[in-house]
Amino acid sequence: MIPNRKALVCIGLLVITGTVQAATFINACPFVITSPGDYLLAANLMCGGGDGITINTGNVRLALEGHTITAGVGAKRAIVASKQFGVLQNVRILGPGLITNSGANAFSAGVFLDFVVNAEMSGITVLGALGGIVTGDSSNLTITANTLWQNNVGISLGDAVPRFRKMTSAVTAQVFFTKISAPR
Amino acid sequence: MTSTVSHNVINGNTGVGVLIGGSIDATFQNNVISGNGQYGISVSLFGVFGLKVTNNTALANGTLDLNDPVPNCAGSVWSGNTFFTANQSCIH
Repeated sequence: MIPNRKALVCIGLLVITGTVQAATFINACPFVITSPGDYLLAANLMCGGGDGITINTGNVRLALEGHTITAGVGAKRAIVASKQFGVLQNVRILGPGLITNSGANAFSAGVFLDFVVNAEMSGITVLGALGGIVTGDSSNLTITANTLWQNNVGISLGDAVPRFRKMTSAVTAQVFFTKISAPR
Repeated sequence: MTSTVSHNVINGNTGVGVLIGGSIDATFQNNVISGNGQYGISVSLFGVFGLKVTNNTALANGTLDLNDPVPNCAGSVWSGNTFFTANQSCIH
């Protein structure tokens, strides 16, 4: 009985501290991920009128679970990991899963990473996009076992200088301070 | 921090299979890059730093299988790749 009681106490503490978190199911797009955690695609999606799934926080695991994301009218990017200021860390985007065009509708990018450090993309098939997997200003990436087919560019890797955005933000703050100080 | 691109299949894209731009520290290995409309793997004109392209299979791409426009492949190591066409003798 004592070991069982200990186990129950441990589980209780994990739940109280928030260590045990249920996955979030994604059934529609657009969908914006703003909290760390596990996210599972629970249906095939038709995404138009902008980006499909946007990740703008770190420590996210997104699994496509064998589903398809299809470009609708006005589609931009199927999956984006980026935020306005700073750098995202620890993002995993996992297949199996298919990102595809439909007729004249195509994604500008299947998976797009911007200012991301420590990311994994694996097991994803991208078909008929402008860019299959596109990264910019990102580093420590693992891109493995994906299939890029009939896109304009299969994989495009840009600069690996994620610290650039931090420098830009600091300069902006300095200019703002100067403007506030000027009337004194 | 190094990025790794491995075991991907990049076939039949209308433009470039893999385009590597700017300064980057990356390893491309054990990928299949065939039948793309222009280059299989191409480095940007602006050059790269710390790039390793090893043990890839790049065949039957439209313009060239492997392309490094930087003289003498400075900043990059190309070794152990299987290919038909490349633009420099420093690509192996």
